[in-house]
Amino acid sequence: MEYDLDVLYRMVKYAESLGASYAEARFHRYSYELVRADNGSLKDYSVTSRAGFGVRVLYNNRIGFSATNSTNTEDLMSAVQNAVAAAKASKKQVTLAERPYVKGKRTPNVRVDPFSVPPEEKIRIALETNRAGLGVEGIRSSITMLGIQRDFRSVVSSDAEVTWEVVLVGISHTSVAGEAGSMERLHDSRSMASGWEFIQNNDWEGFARDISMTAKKALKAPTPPPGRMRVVMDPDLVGLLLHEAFGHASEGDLVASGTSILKDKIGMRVASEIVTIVDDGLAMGGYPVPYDDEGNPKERTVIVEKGVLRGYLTDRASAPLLGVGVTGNGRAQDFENAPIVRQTNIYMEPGEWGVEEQIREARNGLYLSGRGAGGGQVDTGAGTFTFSAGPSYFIRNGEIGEMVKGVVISGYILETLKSVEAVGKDLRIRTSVFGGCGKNGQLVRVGDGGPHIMVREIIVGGR
Amino acid sequence: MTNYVDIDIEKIYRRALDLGASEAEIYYSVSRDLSLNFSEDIERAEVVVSKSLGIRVSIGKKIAIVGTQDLSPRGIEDAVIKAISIARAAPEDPGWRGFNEKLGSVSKEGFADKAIASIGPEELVEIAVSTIEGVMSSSPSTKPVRGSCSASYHRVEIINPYGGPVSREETGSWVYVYAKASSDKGEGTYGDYHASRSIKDLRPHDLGVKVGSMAKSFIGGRAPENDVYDLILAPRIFASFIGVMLSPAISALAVQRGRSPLIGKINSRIAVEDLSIVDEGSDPRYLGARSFDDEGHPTSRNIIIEKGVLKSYIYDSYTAKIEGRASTGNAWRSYSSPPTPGPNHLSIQPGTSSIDEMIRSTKRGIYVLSTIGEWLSNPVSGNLNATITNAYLIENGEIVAPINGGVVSVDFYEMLMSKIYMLGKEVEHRERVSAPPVLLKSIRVAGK
Repeated sequence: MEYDLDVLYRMVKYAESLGASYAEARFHRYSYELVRADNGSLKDYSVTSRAGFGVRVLYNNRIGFSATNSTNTEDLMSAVQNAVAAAKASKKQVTLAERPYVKGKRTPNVRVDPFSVPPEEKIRIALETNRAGLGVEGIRSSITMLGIQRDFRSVVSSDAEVTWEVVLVGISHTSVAGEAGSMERLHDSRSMASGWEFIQNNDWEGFARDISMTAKKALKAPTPPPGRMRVVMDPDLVGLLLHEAFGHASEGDLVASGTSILKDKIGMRVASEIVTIVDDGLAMGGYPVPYDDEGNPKERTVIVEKGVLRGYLTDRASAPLLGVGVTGNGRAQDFENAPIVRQTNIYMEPGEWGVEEQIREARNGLYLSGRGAGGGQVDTGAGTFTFSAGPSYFIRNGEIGEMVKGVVISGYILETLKSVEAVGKDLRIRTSVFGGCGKNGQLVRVGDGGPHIMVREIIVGGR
Repeated sequence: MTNYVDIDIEKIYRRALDLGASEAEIYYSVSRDLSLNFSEDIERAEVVVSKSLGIRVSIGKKIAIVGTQDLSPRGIEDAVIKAISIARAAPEDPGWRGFNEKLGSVSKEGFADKAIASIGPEELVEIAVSTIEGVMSSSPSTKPVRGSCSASYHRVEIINPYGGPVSREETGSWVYVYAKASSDKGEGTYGDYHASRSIKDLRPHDLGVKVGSMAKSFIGGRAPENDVYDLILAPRIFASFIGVMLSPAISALAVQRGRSPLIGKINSRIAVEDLSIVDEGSDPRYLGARSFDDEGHPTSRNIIIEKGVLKSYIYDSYTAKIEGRASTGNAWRSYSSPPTPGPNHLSIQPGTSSIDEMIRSTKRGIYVLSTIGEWLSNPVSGNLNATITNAYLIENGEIVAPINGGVVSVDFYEMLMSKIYMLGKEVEHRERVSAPPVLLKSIRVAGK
């Protein structure tokens, strides 16, 4: 789709001429390729191209939004009119935080553009990975996906002009192991904000074989005994825990509306004092968010410092309601959606413990692994969260014991982080080109991670 | 008002053949979504119009699919060229036996409320206000903290070598509210939605009253004791469990590719005799039913489980042709992804018990009204887990306390076969699944 920064300026000017006190026009172009190999053959190769415009206005202190993927001037101007009409239907008065004029541009650090790699090469890698996973004895089914994404965004508003682009690549693999009467599935993926070089520099066949071997082993593993127990979690799970148990509850729109139990808790102890939690738009290994979709720069936000709640994640509408600054977390899935408060890359800062030291100290409990974990969910109002772990291990007498599978963890936001007893020296943050975080029907890419940690007590589901 | 019929899909179809496709299928969808967010006040309205084009081509047994929302002449031409070039590069799919050969509609009546295609945001304001008033009326300390309502219009057009263009229209309307109640004993929360094809069938005030009073009843909820309980699942929970665990397992693709636990189980007993489940693909009273599926194949009413016996999987044309049988009209896709079999609307047939009878006949149990995380369960192994966010503890046939927390764990297939004790008579319609409440015997709940 043809695109010109001038079009965005025209939309902003037109909205202002219709009486909007503030207008923000966004252009978004999204390209995605997904190569799927299934049981040794290519199942599909699909390509998605999306581009369009979103416009948000403040009219009489009310917010309105509209979007279109048409490029003709008439439709673009009618989108502006729709946004003004939508604002007129709103009742709630909104104040957007003031800011100095923002101008910026960021281009991704890519050596080999994945979109220039011939389809044959992508198909070859997907098939070879898939066949390696399928080649392990006892594996009945195997799916491999290779995904590449380019996401280009421009925001022009009454007080900003920013442009940025992210390129993301990755491979995911699922193996299903089976024997008489029982089946087990294991899934894992690796993604990186990088060019094709990330695909070239990894051993994907080994990656797939490893998943198959673990799936086979999990087939015979028991589910854990139910109840509360001490656990050591790996960085992937710590990321999930923070994202679900804390990140969502710190989102300023939820806090302002009273939907988060972290409301009115600034300055209070919400975690043990060895816990510091950060949301960083440019964390290494995460999904790059140099700006948000309101055009704010996204920097490093400390949410919890040494166990004390220090701040919330905010956009321009929620910051004034909470009396805090804008943290650059107003993100939109795409041009069809208005920005709302979202996390970027949430992680726990490393501490002083080694991994083995934590397992020894735990003595008895579970070592929870994020590999094969399905994700998580939280009810921020009720304060309850849950997430699943991949095949994990008993800890017996300070050592790793036998495997357990089907592990699901549940806890309360205000309790779990207070029972963190040890924080590791290691740190790993990851993102994914195959998924993201959903809120209000919008999916955005995020990253999360941390070091290994030990938690005194958490509810483990089981039979 | 946007003009909905504005690109010529026959022309795109011919262009794909001219450029070297042996066969092609063009899928075009237009949607207009109007939505409104609210809490105690109307917050933000949005109007989104999107048009999406899907181009699927085959060269022999080599397939590619390109989806685009760039519908300029140049954007469409680029998409067709890209599809052809990927198909040329692709290896053969040994399972490919051509596109869907039967295009047509069951009936076009009842799927769309024409009024929805052109309403403005102000008409949703009334729905939101009525919901807010409902919540507030339940008690002075109960407030709606998050809500949304929407009205959507969706149109699909399909052409392939065997027919078309065929077109279908659907509309949907939706209202959701999450409320919080406070007292000196703490806070209680609850959320629920109501969906319908037409705005006039929504009951926003009733929804608000129900959600508000439920929120109040959950004040002070705690995790249950770690124990084995009888569980009453509210219709929405039973619907969700069936949707998460059974939908992927009955897909003919999962069966053919060796990753369904239901392989080889046709005509075998997999559930108690009381349980029957029908996929209602063609009856507009069920949300998810359509006049044809995403390949243009007419939808149908398909019995999945009859009196506990598995009767059928669900098929799109790809999986149907592999078995030399007819598609069941269950193809689902987005504009940029290939079709895959999915249920249209799984309707779990009701039993005869009332919810009061279920509660009265429970000595020590939990009545579960909302959960999170059941979608994290494993439909391949059958391992089902869900974390409780709203429930009541039952002792000696009476509700005695609210519950928040605890993890329900059960082998889904063991649950179908031997844990279902009573099926309720009141069916609740959710999106793509409808279910009665159910009473399950002896289920493990991890708690404090």
